[in-house]
Amino acid sequence: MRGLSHYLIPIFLAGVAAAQTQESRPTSPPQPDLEQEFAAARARHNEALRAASQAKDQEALKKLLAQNPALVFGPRFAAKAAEHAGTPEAVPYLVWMVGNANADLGASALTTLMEQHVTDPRIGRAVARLGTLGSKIGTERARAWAAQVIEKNPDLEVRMQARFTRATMHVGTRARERSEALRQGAIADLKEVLAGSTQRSLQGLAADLLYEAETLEPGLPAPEIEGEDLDGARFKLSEYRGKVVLLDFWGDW
Amino acid sequence: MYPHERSLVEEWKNEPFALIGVNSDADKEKLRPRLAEERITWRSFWNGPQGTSGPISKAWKVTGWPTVYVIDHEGVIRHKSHGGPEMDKVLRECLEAAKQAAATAR
Repeated sequence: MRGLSHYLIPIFLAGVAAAQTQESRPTSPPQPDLEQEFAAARARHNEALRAASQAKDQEALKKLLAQNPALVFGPRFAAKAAEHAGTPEAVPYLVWMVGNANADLGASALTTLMEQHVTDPRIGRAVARLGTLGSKIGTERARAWAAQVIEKNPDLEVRMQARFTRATMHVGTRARERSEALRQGAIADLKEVLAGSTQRSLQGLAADLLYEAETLEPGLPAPEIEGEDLDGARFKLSEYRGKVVLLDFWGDW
Repeated sequence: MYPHERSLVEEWKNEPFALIGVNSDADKEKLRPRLAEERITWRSFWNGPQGTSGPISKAWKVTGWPTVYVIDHEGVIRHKSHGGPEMDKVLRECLEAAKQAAATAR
């Protein structure tokens, strides 16, 4: 927390400034809920974006894109997290930051969560981003944190999310590091998710990724493709055996 | 991605290399003039009228475009990603291996 609180002070002040310039805030809500306020701001922002894009107002669009509510609210959530530092009250603010704020704030919030709140049952949404924030925090650390969550978190779905996220680090198109041992580990993780998770959406993702891990990873024979080309002539992928093939899933959009 | 694809096809036209697309445009007729405009000379499977939910991308669990696979001369997958410098590096390694295999066979 030392390093974080150090630079939270200036952004805390920025947060206050941002709060004061916010228009149409509820005057004095009994319990201001920052998440609700953010959701409302985002809805207004999306509405304004739609209007500007319909009016083809490039100037207004540019201005709006620079005022992305997720970026505006980032320092305010950081200030709340700092206010409640070290207590469970900080967790929802930190989780929001991991999912919404810019990569720097997100990575520092994730660091705080993993160092101080690894047993909190509410960190699932943050755990889901261990893989994508990997370039900020490093694959090695991301992997160690996933292992800690799996070992220590009391919530089954949070543990399942950690297993799924760990698998995405090692198999699939966004894998950061590959080896046969890591592939076998990912297969084991995904089988655990399929057997243990009660969340349909996570199970669906895990089933697809398991299929990829078992049939579509580097080192495995490419499945045959039989189809027709853009002129309707039939051909097969295996006709190109003997050549190096760059198989490119593309679209002109 | 077209300029990079074109340059690979051009650079390796005399090498054991093939760029094979899986096109996921639902409307083939709309695509046709674009092939000429962008000088897309390489062959593509068509993913069918369902576009991005067509059978080939489904079988290969593709959820992001572009997705690329490098397949070596023996038909083994060597790389998968959404493109980038690592793809080029693996392609070059695979080309070397393919040429060596062809030389030993001769």
